[in-house]
Amino acid sequence: MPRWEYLIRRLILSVLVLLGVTVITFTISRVVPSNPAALWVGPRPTQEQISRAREILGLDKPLPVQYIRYISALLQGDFGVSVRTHQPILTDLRTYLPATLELVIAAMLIALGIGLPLGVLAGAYKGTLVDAIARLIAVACVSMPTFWLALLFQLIFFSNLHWLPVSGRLSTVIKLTHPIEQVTGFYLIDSALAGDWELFRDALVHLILPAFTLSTYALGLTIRMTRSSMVEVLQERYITTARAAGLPEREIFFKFALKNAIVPTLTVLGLSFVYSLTGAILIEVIFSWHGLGTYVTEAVLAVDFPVIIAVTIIVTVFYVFINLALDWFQAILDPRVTLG
Amino acid sequence: MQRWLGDIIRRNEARLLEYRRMGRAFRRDVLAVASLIVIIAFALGAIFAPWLTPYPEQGEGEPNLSEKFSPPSPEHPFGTDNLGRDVLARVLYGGRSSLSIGLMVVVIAVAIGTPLGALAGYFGGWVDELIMRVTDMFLAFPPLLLAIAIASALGNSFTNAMLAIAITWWPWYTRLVRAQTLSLREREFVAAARGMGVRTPTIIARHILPNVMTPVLVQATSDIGSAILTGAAMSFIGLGVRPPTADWGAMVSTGRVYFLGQPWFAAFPGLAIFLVTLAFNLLGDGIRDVADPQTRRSVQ
Repeated sequence: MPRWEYLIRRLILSVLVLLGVTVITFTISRVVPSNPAALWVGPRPTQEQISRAREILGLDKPLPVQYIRYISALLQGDFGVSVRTHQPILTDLRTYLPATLELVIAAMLIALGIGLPLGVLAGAYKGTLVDAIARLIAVACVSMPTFWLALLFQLIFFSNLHWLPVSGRLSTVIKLTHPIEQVTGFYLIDSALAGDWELFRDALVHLILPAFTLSTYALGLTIRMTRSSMVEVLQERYITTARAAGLPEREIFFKFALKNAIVPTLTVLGLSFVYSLTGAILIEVIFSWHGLGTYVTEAVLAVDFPVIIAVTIIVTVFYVFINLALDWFQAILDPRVTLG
Repeated sequence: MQRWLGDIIRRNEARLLEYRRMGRAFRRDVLAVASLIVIIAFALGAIFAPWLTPYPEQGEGEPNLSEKFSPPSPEHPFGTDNLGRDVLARVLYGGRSSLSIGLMVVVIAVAIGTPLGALAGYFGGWVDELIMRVTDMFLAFPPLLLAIAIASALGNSFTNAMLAIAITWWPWYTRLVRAQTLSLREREFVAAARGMGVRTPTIIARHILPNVMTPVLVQATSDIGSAILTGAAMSFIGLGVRPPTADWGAMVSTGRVYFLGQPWFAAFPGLAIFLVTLAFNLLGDGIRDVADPQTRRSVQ
């Protein structure tokens, strides 16, 4: 299959998957609940609210008509109104999404920065002590309840050592004296753009604990996948051939093995993104990080169903497109991909 | 009776020998055996909780306000919580909900995923296409978020939380079983059965499913750990068991408010989640190694 054909096929498949995703969310919000209108307006609804919701949602119409209304609203970015904040959900998301993305990206960088070298080492020195330690770290990371680790980190680095702040994105003093100009919503980038290094430093120290906590699952995954892809590549015939030809071990390692082992680990990026986002739901509350996670957890407690569904859709769209981008990237890097 | 037993043994001789080989290999894996012991200990602790703790009524949820926030002591080795209940008793009782959610999620997911995977792999064509595209759609969601959405739609309860997690889990088994079935379908004994005119449902039940069970069981063992972790995460958020029922995730959630002052209250249930999940993951790895010497040789 020619490369461009593969790329387009993947794009079309992704769009179809997204269409399926909306069918599932539609089913969850309109077919599964016994009274969708009541779910849509929140706890203790009045009769009037319910009948208005029935009208807005078009619940008296047949399901296919409801679905078409549902999807055209989604395409216009209309996710409904939050039961709790009474704001259109899209407005809420604009403030929460950048906060979470900043945290998730930081966590992914940590996971890759530590996980890739550790995985490569473990794979290269398979069966040694390094390998055993790396595997133990990996399995501990994927078994860790992050919401519990978050508490331990707070206890150690805030209560006992006084090294890092306990929670929030900025200190109160800094927030008052250094007004932040929201350009991207990423505090690190915004403060750097403004050239305000005191603000940057404050934002950075507040990011460290939540980002490290969040990175654990992705870290474990990265170590595992990098290790196994390294082991696999080192067994390839061309490595044996290179060795037989008397090439120096160092050159074999960097030029042939590492380069080819890294490409399959790219899929780790997609996975670590989704696991970091999932983790963010659990730990943002603990660190008072006002992002999607806090938004969702508060929505769960307030039975704010429209918010839960909206966040699920948004995050899934992100996930699908990240995977698409990674597939494309891989296809461009690795010519073997397009053959399959 | 004896002849009947002898028949079974003779017919399954190869498989029994294989199991004995696996058993011997497994006993050599120190980490896996230790994990199994940890899991059994937690399971026994949960089952016999009423006899193991002097405070079974507190484990069930009865408050004991005169002893709020006692630090760990000989009477209360893990201290007491915000309602004065013995944390050790609560952790033992909490194992009931956490372990059963882990187990049930995997059982339900296997029950849905395995037959679908076998159908997709065996029939191919549009059946395969249909089942696998639905699978893709479910896999497109971040698992925890989908579970949260489903549990919220169904209404907040322990059973609904369990169902919600299971619904996000089955597609993995469908994929696994489909891949296995694809290769089994071409094997001679299946072709022979087909040639002899054995009906399709019988072929799937007698020849396909028994042969995919080993990889499914291997996968299921590791998955129980992640399912327990997900269940704990759901109850940490506030979906799942209702108070006063004890649950590890819910205990960490309540205890986090007091963590910097009274860390024992959230520390021990959190540790329990970590240890049990770790044990299931290590056990899963160990079983994978013995069940599948192929990957052991090439990848491990």
